[in-house]
Amino acid sequence: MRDVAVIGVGMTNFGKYLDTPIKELGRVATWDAIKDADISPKDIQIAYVGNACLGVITGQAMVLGQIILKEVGIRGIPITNVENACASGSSAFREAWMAVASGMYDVALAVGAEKLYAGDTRLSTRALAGGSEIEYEANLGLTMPGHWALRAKRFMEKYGTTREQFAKVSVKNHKNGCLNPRSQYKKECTVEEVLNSRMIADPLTILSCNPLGDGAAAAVLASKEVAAKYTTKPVWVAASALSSGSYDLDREISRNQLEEVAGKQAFEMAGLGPEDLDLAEVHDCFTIAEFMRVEGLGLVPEGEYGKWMDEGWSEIGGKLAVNPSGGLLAKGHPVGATGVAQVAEVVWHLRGEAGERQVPGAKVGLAHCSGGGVASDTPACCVHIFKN
Amino acid sequence: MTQQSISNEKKIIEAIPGAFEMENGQPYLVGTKCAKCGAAFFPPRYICTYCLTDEGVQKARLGNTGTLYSYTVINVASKEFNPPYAFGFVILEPEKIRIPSVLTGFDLAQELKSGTKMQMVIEKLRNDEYGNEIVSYKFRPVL
Repeated sequence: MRDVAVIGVGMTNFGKYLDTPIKELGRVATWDAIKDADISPKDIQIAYVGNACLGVITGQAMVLGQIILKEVGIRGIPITNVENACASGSSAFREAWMAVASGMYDVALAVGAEKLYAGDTRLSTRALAGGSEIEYEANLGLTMPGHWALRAKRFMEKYGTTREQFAKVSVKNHKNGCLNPRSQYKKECTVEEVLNSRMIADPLTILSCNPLGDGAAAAVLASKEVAAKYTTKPVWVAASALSSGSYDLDREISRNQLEEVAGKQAFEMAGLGPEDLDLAEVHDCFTIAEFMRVEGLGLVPEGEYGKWMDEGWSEIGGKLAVNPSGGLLAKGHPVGATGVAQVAEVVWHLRGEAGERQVPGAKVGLAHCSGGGVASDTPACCVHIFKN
Repeated sequence: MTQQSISNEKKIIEAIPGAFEMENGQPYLVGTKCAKCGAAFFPPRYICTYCLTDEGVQKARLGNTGTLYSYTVINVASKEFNPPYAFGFVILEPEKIRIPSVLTGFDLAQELKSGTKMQMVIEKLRNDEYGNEIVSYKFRPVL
């Protein structure tokens, strides 16, 4: 397997773009990444484009990647559309990495794009319910916030975690979002505001849930030899792992075993451990999700993230900065775009280009995306580790 | 009755076709069981995901009682549902498998403890866009 570098990244601001076509969001992010890499579109040899919800929201399924990439003059090359719940973008990135690591291609492009705002929240909720089994749980009335609320209740019972400790995740990530010019929300909130905001699915209030969002992100990957031609600041893909669920009907739902699997594989592949990380972009679709995932990935010992929240250890400048970008809770979560946006965030930190939110001296970063809820398990978990 | 309303007669549709069957007025979940390891599955899996075989895996009537594992009150839902409603996981007895279900028969302001005994019932879940009645199994606390 060959070494693969990220040589360019791009991202739109995340937000609400009701009147902007998705191809425009995709074009802006892709062109940013191409300019950042200082490469010509004709040198891109293969592309993977992640999206999760547009097929339900507007009916635009099947060929989104081709629609976006024609706008930047990328044509004739293999283009594959990737759909994998919230891990759609990171799965697209992984495919691009495999294409280059395998030796089949020297330059690959990964794009993630999404428009969740539909002018009708219930239609967006319906589209997101596609992350669970439509003919089963979703058909019975279980929503994605519902899935996480059930895990949160179980988690609280098992570890004694309080609502205040969950709320601190939202407070931290909103604080970080204020430092990120691309963040959907740039407004701090307090524990009281999180707890007193509108209840979505007990114990998850609206400020405990990621917002709907629109946006796109892109990354250009290249083999070691080719990367040297384009950049003096390559960021290396030290590991890539993708796992799926066990779907055992008797498993403990306060733990996500697939995160343990993907996390272990990724650290082994990288030859690194959690102690080597300077930052982690972790899929905080809900406050409880950041808890379960940092613990599942082995970044924090089981049952201890509540203490981490109380001590501020996962803030920028703490033991391990978790979601310095603002995470899904503040930066936003245009589902298919999120995984690639996380890659961009880690790349900016490792290049020292993350501005006010820069994790000082960052050398190793992790990006994690997990998505969906199937048979009360998570069906997709994607982990990447980067180093400079 | 007008001609219109007669021609638009509403149907009763099962949310998950074949999920339950009735005997002597009692509903039972219908799943599968593996003769080799004894695992039960709902919804039915026709290949045992532990033994990785289809031999001896057969359709089976499962239980209609259980204990509450975790639950929430859902306040925002997909288009076709009318929140708020309680949704939970029930550990089915005697199979010890987790069943997702709307919870019914109690005041939503009331706090249910995990471990609460639950009884399966068949009720209307919602109406579809044509006004048909969608029915499903649900669980209610035995208080």
